[in-house]
Amino acid sequence: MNHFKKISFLSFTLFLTVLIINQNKEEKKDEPVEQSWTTFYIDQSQEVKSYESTPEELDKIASGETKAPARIPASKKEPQEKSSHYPTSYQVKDKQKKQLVSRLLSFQEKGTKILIKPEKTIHKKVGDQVNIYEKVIITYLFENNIKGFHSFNALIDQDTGKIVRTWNQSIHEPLRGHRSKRELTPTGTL
Amino acid sequence: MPLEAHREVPMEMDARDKKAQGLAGFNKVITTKRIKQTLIRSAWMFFISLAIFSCLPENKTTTTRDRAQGSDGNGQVEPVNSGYGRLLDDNPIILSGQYNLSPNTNLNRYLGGQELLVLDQYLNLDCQINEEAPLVSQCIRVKQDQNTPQLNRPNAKWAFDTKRNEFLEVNTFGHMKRIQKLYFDVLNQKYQKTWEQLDPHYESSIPMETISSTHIWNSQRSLWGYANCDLVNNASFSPATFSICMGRDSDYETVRWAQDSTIIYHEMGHALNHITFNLRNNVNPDIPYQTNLGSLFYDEGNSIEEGIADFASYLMNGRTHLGEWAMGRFNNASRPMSEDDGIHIPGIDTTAAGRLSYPTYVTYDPNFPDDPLEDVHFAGQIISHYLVALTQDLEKYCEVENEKARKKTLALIIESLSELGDLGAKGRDFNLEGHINHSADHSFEWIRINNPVNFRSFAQSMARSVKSIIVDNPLNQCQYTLDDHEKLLDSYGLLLFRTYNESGNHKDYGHLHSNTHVATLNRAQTVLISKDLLKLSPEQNASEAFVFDNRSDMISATQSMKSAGQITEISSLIESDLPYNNGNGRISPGEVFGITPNLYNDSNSMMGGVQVLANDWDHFKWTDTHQDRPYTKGRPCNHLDGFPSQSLGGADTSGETGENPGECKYTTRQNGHEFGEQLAPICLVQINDDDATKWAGQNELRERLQLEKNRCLGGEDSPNDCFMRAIKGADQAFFSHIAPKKTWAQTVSNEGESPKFNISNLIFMEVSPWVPPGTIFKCRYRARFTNCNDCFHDPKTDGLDFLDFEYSGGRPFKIINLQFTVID
Repeated sequence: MNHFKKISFLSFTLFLTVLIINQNKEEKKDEPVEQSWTTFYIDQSQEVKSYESTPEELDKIASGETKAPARIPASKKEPQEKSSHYPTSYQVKDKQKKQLVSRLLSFQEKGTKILIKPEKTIHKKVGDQVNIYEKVIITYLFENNIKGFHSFNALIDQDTGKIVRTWNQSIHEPLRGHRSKRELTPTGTL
Repeated sequence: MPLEAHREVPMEMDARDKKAQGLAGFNKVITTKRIKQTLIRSAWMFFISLAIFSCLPENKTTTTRDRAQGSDGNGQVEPVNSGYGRLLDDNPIILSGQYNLSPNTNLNRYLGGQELLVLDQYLNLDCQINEEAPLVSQCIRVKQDQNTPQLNRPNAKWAFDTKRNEFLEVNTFGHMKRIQKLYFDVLNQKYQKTWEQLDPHYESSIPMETISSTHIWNSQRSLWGYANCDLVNNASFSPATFSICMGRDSDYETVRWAQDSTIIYHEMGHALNHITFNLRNNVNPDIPYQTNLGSLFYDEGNSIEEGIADFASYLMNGRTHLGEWAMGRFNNASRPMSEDDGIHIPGIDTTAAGRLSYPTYVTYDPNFPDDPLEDVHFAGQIISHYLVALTQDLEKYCEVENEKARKKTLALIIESLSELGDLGAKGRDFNLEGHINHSADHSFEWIRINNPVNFRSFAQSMARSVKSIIVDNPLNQCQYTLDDHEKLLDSYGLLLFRTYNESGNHKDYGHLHSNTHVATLNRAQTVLISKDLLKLSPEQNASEAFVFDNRSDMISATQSMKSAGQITEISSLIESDLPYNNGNGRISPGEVFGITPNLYNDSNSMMGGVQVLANDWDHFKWTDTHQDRPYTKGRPCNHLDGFPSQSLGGADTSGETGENPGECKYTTRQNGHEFGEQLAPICLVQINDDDATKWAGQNELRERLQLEKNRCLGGEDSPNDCFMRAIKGADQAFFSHIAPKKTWAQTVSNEGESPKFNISNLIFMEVSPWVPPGTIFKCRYRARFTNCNDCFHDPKTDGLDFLDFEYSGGRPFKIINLQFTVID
């Protein structure tokens, strides 16, 4: 019997080991990629503010980079405001950055936020000089909780903070009668 | 019955449930004795379980796919082996054969045999073009939606009850995998023929790095599939986040779009189009960005995109209809891909005269044929029908199975898109830069606005591909001829080109090599129309243009275009609540307004794909070229349409040869970047001298008003559009078609109704608040259309295409001058 117990115990240990390995494997795979989205908004004093995008915000924009809900702490910390630091690759200067965000958020309803994820710094020769650009993904997040499936890529001039081009806009399949109201009525003629 | 209700009786407990139970157990206080007992009991249970499972019969695994039914007689899902799963092979309508299938039907009975999906515990797929190619790790990943973690199945068994959300993930993953595999197979074949010399006759646009670089798969990014998105009656593809989203029906909670494989294929079609259109860009280290087919809510690039995405469904299942369950069953929105589909109106058939031809059917909705609509999905049907008909031709003339013919058509599509989307401006590895899309420096703008992909350029590119890959290649053993294909294109109204343009559009070499000419006799139905027959409405009391300046409309349109990324920069002089937009239909200082020329087709045939451009172009003769850029002093050129005369401020073009940069008659070769050349904004301003009135550039008005440069719309670096300018990204308008002897508004609206304008029908402009009321502007828009005889063919040649640099100028366009006075 003792012998049988030993075998059983060893087998069970092996079983547990396999389980633990599998568990670790799962945890490794579930690890979120490096957090690099930043959320920008304009506060009541019309100041541009930013913080590291929350998992909930990333969920809404279909970034594919959400943390598993089970791994989110029960007591969530409020988003930490950043003063001036950004992910290391995002080098657009502070002043230009604020101007860029202001321009992107102008015309939008109060409470609208934008999420920006830097992807790459690009050096491009234009004529005799080399311009430096930031390639980013931009997504709008609307306060009325409409899913922000309108993501696009943008190239930002690092010196001026201006967007020089955009591409990769989302494609939708709205059915007849369900498309958003885009119809416009002329108010006059020439 | 709500989908979630079925979650209470899961077929198998998944890993998340097990984990939750395990954690609860750890909270118990237990004694050492009980630990021993538990361990012994657990070990016993483990061995007993092992013994039981080892005695169970194994499922048949000799083939990758097993076509046996995936459920038993009671509608329960049959178990599968590790790594395997069960899918709905087609959509439930087709699998059941019932077009009125109930939304509450138990779909388990239509599950297919077990199919190898993935041995991993997550729905992650690694991709590889061939065994020598590097692995693209996790090229496809699937989860339910953005809010849930990936499904974790340590046993890698992927059979689920179809009522469970997990099934949606598996079905999405399985069909994404199927089409991805087929796409890589075809790409690999093309690579082998082109670069491994398996076929010495084969020339291709796919780059040499196709195999060696993992960047082919959108720079190694995972394509996410969200199987159960919070989208209602919708699905989407986002190239920026590289994800597809499958939505749900608005009325029936149980009906999910991921249950319909044809829609998964359609969305995957977009993803693969994106990869293919950027095939050359993704491996080009000098191109740090990508490009897209189409840039507006409605244009022909986006229509082609939709047509090819529809074809992706046919590519996979050989059926010429898609979306019967997700779009068709409850929303009357499924789409056909062949003229012999019963959904079509009488008169549409597979004869040469009965095809779904361009531009007649660009707004045709087979579900609502009496209510035409400008929509890329409807215009795209012309492309999907053509691609299916081409496949059927290849099946017949190459004497191959339909499945092989479908792959041949995919190879042709890859060939064309890869060439047309090349931002490196070569099209093929051994071509010179400038062969296509002008140049690497300006290709992005060429594809966006100056020479975007339209039905003509796509058809011409497909013709080139058919010629080089099918007709001229003896190894293909096809009896298909250029005449056969030209006749097919003609039956679709797509024989819109006079040559195959093999020599390309290079500024120096484009016309030096020989080009294959289209046989004129083959153009029986396609009509090419002179650009001069596109004009402002000549009808009595007709207005020249429609103006849109309603405040809420303009705010809403601006919001929409900004959030979509179509426009990014509005002048800082324009206040964001548009307080000056008074909706009076007149143009006032400080406004953003939309404008649509009231275009008229003065021919006897339908015009298709009318594009109006408001971007800068070469129509100024600069006189301060010794200064640093931007040049600001000059006179408008008048050699194209006589406006403005020299007495009204126009440039003196006497003695010009057209050979020297700086002349009006010389069109810039470098899009305004060579010495003496610079593009000019479209709007001129009227200036009143003491003794004369003249048209001038806007900087001249600024100087007269002594307005500082930094008070210009674009700031101090942009004095030439100081007071009035088109908003970049909203600087073109597109119209699907114009009927003969009608305006566009008369063409698209039913009798007695007002036309429905959408954002892509308008050019959006901004007016500086510093414009003195009473100032008169004249803006010089350029217009063209797809079935135009002299917008793409250079009249100076024997039907050759215009070289790309010409699209910086005015020759390929009809100039539309619109004059308006700014009033307070």
